[in-house]
Amino acid sequence: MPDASAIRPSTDPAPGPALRCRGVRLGLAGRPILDGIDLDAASGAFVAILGPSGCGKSTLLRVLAGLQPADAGDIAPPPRVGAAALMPQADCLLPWLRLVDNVALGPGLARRPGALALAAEGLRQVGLADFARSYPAALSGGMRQRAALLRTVLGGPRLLLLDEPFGALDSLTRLDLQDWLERLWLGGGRPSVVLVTHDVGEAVRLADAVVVLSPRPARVVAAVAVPGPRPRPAHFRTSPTATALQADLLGALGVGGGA
Amino acid sequence: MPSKAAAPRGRAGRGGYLPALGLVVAAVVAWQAAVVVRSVPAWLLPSPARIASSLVADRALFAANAGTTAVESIAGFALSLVVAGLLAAAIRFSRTLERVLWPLLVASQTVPVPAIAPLLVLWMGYGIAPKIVVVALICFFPLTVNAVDGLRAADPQLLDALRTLGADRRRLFWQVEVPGALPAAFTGIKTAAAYAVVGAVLGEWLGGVRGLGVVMLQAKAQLLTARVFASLVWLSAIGVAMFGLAALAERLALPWYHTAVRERNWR
Ligand SMILES: Nc1ncnc2c1ncn2[C@@H]1O[C@H](COP(=O)(O)OP(=O)(O)O)[C@@H](O)[C@H]1O
Ligand SMILES: [Mg+2]
Repeated sequence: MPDASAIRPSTDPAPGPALRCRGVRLGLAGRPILDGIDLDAASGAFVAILGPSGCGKSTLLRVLAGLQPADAGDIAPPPRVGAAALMPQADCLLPWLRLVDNVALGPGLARRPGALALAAEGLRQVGLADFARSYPAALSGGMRQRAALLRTVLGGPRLLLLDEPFGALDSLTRLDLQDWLERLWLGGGRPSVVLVTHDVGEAVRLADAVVVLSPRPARVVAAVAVPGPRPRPAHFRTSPTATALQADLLGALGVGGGA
Repeated sequence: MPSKAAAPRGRAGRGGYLPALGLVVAAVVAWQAAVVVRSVPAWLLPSPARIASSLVADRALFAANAGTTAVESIAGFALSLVVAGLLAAAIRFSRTLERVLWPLLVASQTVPVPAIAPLLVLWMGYGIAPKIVVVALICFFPLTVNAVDGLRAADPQLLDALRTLGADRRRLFWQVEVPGALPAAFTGIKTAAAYAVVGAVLGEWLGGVRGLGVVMLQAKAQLLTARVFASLVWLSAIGVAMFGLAALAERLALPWYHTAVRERNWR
């Protein structure tokens, strides 16, 4: 894997902001979606959110991004559009821009110099150098997701909100990109990250803390810390700590013999 | 499944224009045969051969007048394009303007242009100006409606994602909404381009001294029916040429769109 520090997501040496949510509530179209969410993330921490489909994970990210005001509850720092970079679940690339221009949009909008060069280097690192001049329609879902992830991280946000960023990837590429994302995060001034995922292994591999949500309306049913050094050693996934945590999390999700 | 069905619909596929040409040839042959066999008088329905000879014999007359009609068509289309673009942007930017202008826009289409055209002549005289306005009125609706629909089609999730990356309203408009509106806008542009000549002829019929519409009226009065048909041939040629230019502009402006359509068809 290439050197992720060549495209550090942030030039700001201070880690990202600490995040604190208390009792965040939201209803949409008359139905409760978020039912009092409490969430804590230390400055520069990597937090993963697990939860069943349709429970409100994407909605929670929209609230944190400032796109959707909550009905009640406190969030600090207060969400503001532009303060946190959101990678939505659908890749949302612009169909009329070539891949490299799509990726360059992220650093470009954030007014980082050398946006195109950053985009080209980023595409090389995620294995898409050969597709830099392709239009998104010609690529697979997994390729588009990698480009969308790059577009989001290369602007150098202090808070990164990733909605199932690896959902469309095959399992080998997924493992590679998890390693890459961790190195990018460590090497790039440690933005605070909130990652939504379906994959218990991915949550444990990447996060400092994992939050499990209930089915809709979403409440926090478990919050566990993941101990271990950074970067995670190669055998971390299969270590007793990690496997025990994964079993606990599956239990909290109501899968596989747990509580 | 990658198969022959993958050829994009709505355009001449790999078969080219051969089927359309074949149909025209067959119709012309049948027409010629019918006119000759039943000896229909030429002033009532001229044979294709007579129309062809009018095209040759009157070529100077057509060349002198086709230019006027083409200029009216292009100028009216261009005027309409500018106004439609501004209006579509205004409707997109302001909810209030949308609420005020959209119903008026739809209502305006219930007023028949032939009914307004004499007023335009009254106000603007017999020159080229009222013809340009008639063309603009004819082109206006398809241009505006398609542009507005295109602007409305922008994916809100995409707009939101770029807002979180720091895009302001102006950049979203120019970098997301406008490019995204182009496929729909070009549907309107191609429609209007093909219609524009109809407006020009309509304008010329209401009073004028030049143009294919005037040639048609005079030929009809003299029972030179073959010349009327020959004028129609010229008119369609101008309309088809304008449509062709619009389609060419579309292909040049939207290279990505054809990739996307091709991909969709291959899935
Ligand atoms: N704009 C909206 N209006 C009404 N309901 C919505 C809206 N957005 C999402 N929902 C509903 O909120 C629930 C949670 O959606 P979402 O946050 O996308 O779930 P998840 O990301 O956990 O799969 C779903 O039941 C969905 O139908
Ligand atoms: Mg979701």
